[in-house]
Amino acid sequence: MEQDTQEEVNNDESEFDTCQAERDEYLDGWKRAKADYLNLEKSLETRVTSAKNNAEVKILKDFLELADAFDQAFLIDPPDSPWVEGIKQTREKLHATLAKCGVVAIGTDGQKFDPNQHEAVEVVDTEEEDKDDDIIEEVQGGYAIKDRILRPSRVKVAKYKQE
Amino acid sequence: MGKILGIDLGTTNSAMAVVEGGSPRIIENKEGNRTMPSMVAVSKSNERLVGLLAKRQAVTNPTGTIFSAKRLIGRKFKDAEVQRDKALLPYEIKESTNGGVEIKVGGEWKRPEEISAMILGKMKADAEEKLGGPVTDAIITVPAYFDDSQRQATKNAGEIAGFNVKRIINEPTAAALAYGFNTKKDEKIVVYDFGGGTFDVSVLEIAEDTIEVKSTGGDTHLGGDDFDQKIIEWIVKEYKSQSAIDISKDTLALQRLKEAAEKAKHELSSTVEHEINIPFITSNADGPQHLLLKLSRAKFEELVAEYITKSIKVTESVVKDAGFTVNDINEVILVGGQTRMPAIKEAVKKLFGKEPNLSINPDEVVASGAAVQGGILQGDVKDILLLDVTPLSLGLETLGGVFTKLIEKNTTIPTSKSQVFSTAADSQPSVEIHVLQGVREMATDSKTLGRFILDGIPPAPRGMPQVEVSFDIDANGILSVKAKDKGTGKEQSVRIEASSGLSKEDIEKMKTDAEAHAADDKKKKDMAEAKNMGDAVIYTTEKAMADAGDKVPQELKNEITKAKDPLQEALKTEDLDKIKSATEDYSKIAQKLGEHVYKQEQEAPAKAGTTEQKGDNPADNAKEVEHEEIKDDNKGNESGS
Repeated sequence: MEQDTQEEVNNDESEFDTCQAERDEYLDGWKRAKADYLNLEKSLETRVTSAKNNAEVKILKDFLELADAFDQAFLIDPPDSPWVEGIKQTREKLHATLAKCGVVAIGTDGQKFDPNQHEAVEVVDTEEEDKDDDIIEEVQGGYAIKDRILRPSRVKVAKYKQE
Repeated sequence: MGKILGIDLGTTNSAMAVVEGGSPRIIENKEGNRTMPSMVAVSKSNERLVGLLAKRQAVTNPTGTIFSAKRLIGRKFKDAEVQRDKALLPYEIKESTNGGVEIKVGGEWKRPEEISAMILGKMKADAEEKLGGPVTDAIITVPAYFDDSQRQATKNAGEIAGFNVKRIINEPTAAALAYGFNTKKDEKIVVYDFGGGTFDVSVLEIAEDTIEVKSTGGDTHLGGDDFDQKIIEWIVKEYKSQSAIDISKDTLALQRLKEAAEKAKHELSSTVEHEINIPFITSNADGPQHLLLKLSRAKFEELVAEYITKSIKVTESVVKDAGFTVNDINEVILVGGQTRMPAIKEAVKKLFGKEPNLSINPDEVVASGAAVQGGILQGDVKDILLLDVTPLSLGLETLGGVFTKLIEKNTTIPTSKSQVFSTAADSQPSVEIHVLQGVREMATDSKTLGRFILDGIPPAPRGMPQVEVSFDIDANGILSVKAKDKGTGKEQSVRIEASSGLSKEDIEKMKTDAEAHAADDKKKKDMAEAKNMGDAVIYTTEKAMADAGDKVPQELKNEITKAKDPLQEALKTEDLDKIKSATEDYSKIAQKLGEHVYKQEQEAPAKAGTTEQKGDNPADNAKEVEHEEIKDDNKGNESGS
């Protein structure tokens, strides 16, 4: 009789232990799920921002090609005509629109080559050592938006030629 | 415990991913890109440049910019491959004291694993910045043909970069993991990987708990870049024959051309013809010159046909090497950006007689798979609590017999959702909540789960009372619906066990029906909504007119009342356009009422407007009122008292 009771107590205890272990496991799982969710919410904000930025960059990059074409058009002195004047204004409007979107041109004048902003497309030998890494010519304009490079300036770079 | 980073350390580009919530996610690098060039350089000022920065300065520093270090890692200097590559690489390599390879960078001799470690180091730093915590564990992928020494060297590279390399896995295995094929026992899988600079094919066999590589093959010097080059050559040749101008010597022209060629390649994956348009590409004595060429997909396919044919031949022989025939293959996975090209997809499909897998971004699938392996090691994947979804939408019937969904199908459960509804008639004393399940637009086409009535709503104009209806499904799929009158606090609820046991077949049937009737249902719903709208416009106008009393001249009142007739006529028909245009016409005339009232208000601001405001407020709180009113249980009263 006493043995039976003892056995029952033992059974209850082990059941209790199992329940407790399960409770701990579920509580942990629930906390984790909750934490995962909160973390997801936080990271979602940055992910949405980055998706938005990426989409912007993708569209703006295509417009840069258009800006290139206009820029190239006016490298050659065009004949005077109201029509040319209109095209000139269109070009200005395009650049103004890009600027309004936060797109800024990357300068290259008198600068040293910096791969953070420029991409070298050609090297030109120089005999003057201090001219090494100078930007000789901007082949294609570069643009940045906020702290992100939309397109690096494509440049020709001077290289000191050691004898 | 930190996340395990899955890394695809590629010959030309690298990518990384982690598992989050049970599925892999690509981590963007600091520059915001999902992949980065596997390039390293040391600048004159001894600054280490990795990835995009190294690529940008490569022209100025050809001997000090290291790319394709993967071709050298873990190899002996005397290996035939190394000797062949030696002639192609612009940087200097030599034999190390133990017979391995050393690369000269920034005036120092470094082992290839040290170069790879610089790439991995940047990935580690970028991942830590993005994930906001230390990342120490990594899984790195290698080509299936890598031998022990190449694997060991890759592992060392990871360790030099500060990683605890949990495992080195095969690239094709990673791709299979990303698709979840590790659970498909006894399947034979072909992984066709056309990267930027290399082409690899592997045959895998999934056994009890392993993925075995049965055979591999490929071409280490054939890749997507060759396809770009073919387009550039074609443009230069075509343009020369058209205009007699050779643009291959003009740096800017060539730069713009490279971009255009890359774009053309991408576009031709989705269109059959692409216009290559580069205005003002150059100028000569005749003035500015423009480039305008049309490249058809067929022409492009013709240009690169030799590459595709070659890849298919290699694939055939790799399958044969594995001891299989093409018919034995259960699944084909496409990896590498170049596999987006329709002609490649077609050629592979034709060879195996089945649709290849391309649903995961082919540039990212290997890194994703490495992350999945990390998830398996970490127990993330095992520990995921399996959560169910509701197979059908749940909601209630609203004015005009529309099935308004509160919980959309495929929502993960447990979940709850509530929305505020209102009455459809003045002084409506009760609302009936008709709980529905289904995927169609109208209540009659959906399954009734239950009904109950919430009564005791104090007399009020229609749209004024706010009844909040909440749906809650627990993890076992038991649905509780509660309706509460926010004004009186009175509530009623119903509990529906296991969504009344629709069988799988029932659910499928409802879904198929919904697809078949989608257009028809939409028409019905639009009709109901248009009628509700027309009805609501008449109601609000007449109410406003009554409220305004004699402030509105009789003349205007008559005009508005007269204009009501065509709309009421239209509402009796089933002609959607007629109802819509009649509603619009009536609204235009009714607007005169508002104009008049406001004009008067401006003239005498102290007195007017109080009734208008009263009418506005509840609408602000209960946005759904106008279109989603609860169906009245004594519809006869609807037009107002």
